[in-house]
Amino acid sequence: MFVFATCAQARIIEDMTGREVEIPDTIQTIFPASPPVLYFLYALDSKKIAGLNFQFTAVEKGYLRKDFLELPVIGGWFGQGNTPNLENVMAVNPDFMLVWSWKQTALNQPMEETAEIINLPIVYLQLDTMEEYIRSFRFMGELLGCPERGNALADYTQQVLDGVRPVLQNLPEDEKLWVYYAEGPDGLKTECDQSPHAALIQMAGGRNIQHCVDSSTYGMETVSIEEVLDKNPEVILIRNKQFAEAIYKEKQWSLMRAVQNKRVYSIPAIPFNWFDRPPSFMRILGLQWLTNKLYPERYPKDMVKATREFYKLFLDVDLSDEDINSLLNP
Amino acid sequence: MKKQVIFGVLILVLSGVILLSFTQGRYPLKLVDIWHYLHHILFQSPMADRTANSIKVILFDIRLPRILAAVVVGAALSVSGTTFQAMFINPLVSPGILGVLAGASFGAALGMLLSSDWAVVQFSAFSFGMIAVGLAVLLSQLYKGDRLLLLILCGVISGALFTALLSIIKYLADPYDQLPAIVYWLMGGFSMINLHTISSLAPGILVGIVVIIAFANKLNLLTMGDEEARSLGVRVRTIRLMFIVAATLISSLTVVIGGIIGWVGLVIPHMSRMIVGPDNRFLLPCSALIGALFLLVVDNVSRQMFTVEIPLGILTSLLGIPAFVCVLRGARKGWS
Repeated sequence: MFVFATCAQARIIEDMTGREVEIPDTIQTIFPASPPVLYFLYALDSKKIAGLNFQFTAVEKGYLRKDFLELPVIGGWFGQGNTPNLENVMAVNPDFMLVWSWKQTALNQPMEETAEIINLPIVYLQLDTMEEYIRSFRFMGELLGCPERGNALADYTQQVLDGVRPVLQNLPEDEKLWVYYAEGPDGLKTECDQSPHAALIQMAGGRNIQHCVDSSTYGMETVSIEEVLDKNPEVILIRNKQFAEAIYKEKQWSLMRAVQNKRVYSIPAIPFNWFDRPPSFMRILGLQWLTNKLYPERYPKDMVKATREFYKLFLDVDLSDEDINSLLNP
Repeated sequence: MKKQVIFGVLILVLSGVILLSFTQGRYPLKLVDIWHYLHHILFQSPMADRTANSIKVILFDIRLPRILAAVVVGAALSVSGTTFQAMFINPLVSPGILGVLAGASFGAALGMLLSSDWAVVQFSAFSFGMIAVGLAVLLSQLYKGDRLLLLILCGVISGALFTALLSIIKYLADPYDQLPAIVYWLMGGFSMINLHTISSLAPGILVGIVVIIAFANKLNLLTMGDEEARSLGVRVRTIRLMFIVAATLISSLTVVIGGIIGWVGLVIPHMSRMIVGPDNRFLLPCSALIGALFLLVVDNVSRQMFTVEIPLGILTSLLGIPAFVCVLRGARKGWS
């Protein structure tokens, strides 16, 4: 079966990395190349999404729109050898592919070549920092013909940044808390302080005890318990449920300041993680949560209210107090 | 050199390295501190509770389980490798020959996909290790012909099947949490180990090793070939099955403790054979000791050397390959 190109008017735009791309005048659907981009689009205009990168879990599904969940899974380029099924991509026939220009890796070239084969234009977004999120919201809002929506999300993000900035400015370097980010079922995988995966720790005024440069873009560095003990973090952030249950039972963790002072926090992750993996717009809420957890006196925040507002604005979900409670205490 | 002397030396060296291992780690614990602590325990010399508690946890909750795990897993892999090499009369055989490692890997991954309870993961790893070998043995019973060759072929089939199933699990796993957990686990290492786990799993391994060593005589007869063993009154099929079950049990349990740790079961038997010759009555215990020693040293390197912990399975390959190349020259000698 042939797919006849429609005679839509095309236009040339400049994406966020300054490349010139030709895309149709009216955009029907977009293929998000990876989960951070997929979530970004979901917040901005979920009707424009062509397909999903992978299936969502049952819990996540409870927070997401039905029509969105019924979209076909077409995969994506998000590391670890994940590639989309080209025939699926062609079957949904998106107008262009939206990619986060995070790091130019060896994978970019095959991705661009593949996109060329199926004649799929690529538009790059920059989503590394909160400031770039603000710019990307405005840029995509403009591109998709919904500038009010893009600006609303950008303005909210700007407000959050403006609220957090004075806290960090007035915080003496030696009062910054030492934070350990525990990943994996044993709590002994982590991210270096230079890694984008752990960027939120610095943004919230913490100091990551793991001082290094990651060995790969993927992160998840292995550390030994002895090293963590030696650095003795004041706060531990936990990503993995299994480990969250284990940490208070294990003798070796009980020696740390964070455990003794009960400053061990599980990272909220529904429907998408607030902190990392994937690093998404949820960090805008995660930043408020973490700054408030680290410095409750300097940054007093009604997190129940903030969570309710954020979910309403970004995800169009009305949360009950009960929902919020279980979100904040996973 | 007399064999007794060799064993004496090996036991001494292993004991020394075990003691030394307590002083190895990333936490700056000086020998002096350990000395003070021992003094405090034995002679009640004064010491701050907090310091004493820290030292106790580091020595007994962090380092001891890892040392035990390395010793037990190293011994188990070497013994099961030696057993399989003798049984198949083939120096290229390693513990994974009948699919046990592929099965256990699949089991562990399946457990991680379905449950967040570590006990479930461990049980599933162990069960599927046994199931994979059971499948290989069953398949080999379907046909007439050279028993050993059929077993090896069916082991390859079973291993390939479970490797494929493992790939399916990896594909289904959530890419942010489950997949990395599975991948890292399969690279092997003792970071998940605690005293409770090791004390509940080590007895099973020790029993398996003891059983194999106790029947070393029968294993010697098996290496002469089936016909000859039969004429000497050995019930070849029964005895062989017993060795397969015991060797599979212990290698399955190593996966439960530390994921997939390669090369130990292939290289150490060769080294041991060069030292004490092919008689399994001496070869098996010798290879248990050398395997324990090797893995303990490698784990110490992995705990000590780098800021990030390199998964043990990678290090055993990196260190095992040159060692293997060195012993290759003498490897043929050991069989005569």
